[in-house]
Amino acid sequence: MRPVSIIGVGCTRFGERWDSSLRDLVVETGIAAIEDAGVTGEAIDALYVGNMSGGRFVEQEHIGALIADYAGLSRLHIPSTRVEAACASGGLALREAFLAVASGYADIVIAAGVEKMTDVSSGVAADALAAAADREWECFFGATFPALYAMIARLHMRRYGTTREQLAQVAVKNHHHGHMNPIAQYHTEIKVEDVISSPLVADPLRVLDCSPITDGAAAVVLAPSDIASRYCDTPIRILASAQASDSLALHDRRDITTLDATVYAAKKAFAQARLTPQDIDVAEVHDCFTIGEILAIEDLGFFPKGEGGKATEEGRTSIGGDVAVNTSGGLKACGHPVGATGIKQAYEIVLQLRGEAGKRQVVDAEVGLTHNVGGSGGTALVHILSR
Amino acid sequence: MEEYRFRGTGTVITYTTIYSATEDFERLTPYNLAIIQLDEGPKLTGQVVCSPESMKIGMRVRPVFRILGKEGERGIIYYGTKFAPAEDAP
Repeated sequence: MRPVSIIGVGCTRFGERWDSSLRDLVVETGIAAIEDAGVTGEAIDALYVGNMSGGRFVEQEHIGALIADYAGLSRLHIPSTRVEAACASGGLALREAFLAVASGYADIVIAAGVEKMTDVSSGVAADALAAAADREWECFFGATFPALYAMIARLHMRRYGTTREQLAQVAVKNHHHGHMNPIAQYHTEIKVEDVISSPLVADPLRVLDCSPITDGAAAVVLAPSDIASRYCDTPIRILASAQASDSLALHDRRDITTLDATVYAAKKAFAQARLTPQDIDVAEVHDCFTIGEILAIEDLGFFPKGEGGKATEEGRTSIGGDVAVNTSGGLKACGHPVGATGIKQAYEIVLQLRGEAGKRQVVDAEVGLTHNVGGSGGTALVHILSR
Repeated sequence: MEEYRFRGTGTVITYTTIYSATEDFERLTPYNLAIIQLDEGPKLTGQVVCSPESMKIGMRVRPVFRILGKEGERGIIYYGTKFAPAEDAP
């Protein structure tokens, strides 16, 4: 395996993009990433795209060939592959691209992610997303995604004393970070009282505990590290790429308040990078619901089990704290176009490590981490990036 | 492989009350969903038919036979197991 670097990045504005189709979003982000890397179409060896449910959201499958076509690459006949791992599809596309370059099989590879979610009603979107859970053993009995995370939250609160206000603080922090991010879906600051008085979705989770329905796309360009400086002044090295799986159904897990897929992916990633959680300056983690970020910062090893809520309340995960978590605004405020999220996380970390994150820049950020979860924890991906 | 029939009684490990559901379940809102540990050991997910206020972690439940869904007005009706509170269940 040879070292791999990111030489270019692009990301669309996230939100209700009624002016853009799925293919428009991919073209917008693809052009941005290719221009940023300064590569030509002929140099590209392969494309990987994360997309959870084009079939349900816009009745379009075969997204691999579609994005190559609309990126103007169809005449070059470059292999283009769609990968799917529910909300971790983007992270998985990044890993597949990384493996293609690291193995020596390809040199310049693009990892993209896209989801166009606002063309359907919220009920249809909820059912499409519920397909990431166990259809026969969870959804058939009435489970929704917020419901699964709500059951995790209730048990976490019972076992560890995590409070309703601590959960709310995750959303408050991520909206604060997101309001400094030009591509974020929401630029509004919110207060703890706003979260705990918003309408119930699945008790104890409320509307402002949940990430929104979002349109968006992101792309990164990968190259072997030994030639990366030909394309880019500040290539960002991928020190580790790790993936782990667990039972699809939440009720079959060893422990309902721990995402073991995160624990295993993180252990593998830190071993590959020869680093510890304390070495991470900035992290993008999977806060599809506020409890998701609490689980993530515990299961990645930033804080001991059960202390994620307290650490958040004390500001230890804000910009300027022990580890800046979700400087983009996270899934909560930046938005969560499910297939694009894992790539947007890498985009944000690359900006932070290049020192190009504007008002939300983490001072002297050298090492960053991305953490992308599929479903309620059936898949987890962890990547560690370094300047 | 040997077929085994569970008694169906169990204990609520954790639960939620759903106020916003997918289209198939919207007519039931608010409804309770729980992870239940059956007395024989395995865990599963199911609805608990009682008021949201009476839900508690650790509560005992028993199985009840109910309609789980319908494919439209004239379509197939799905039947299956929900749960009901059973403080007196052995």
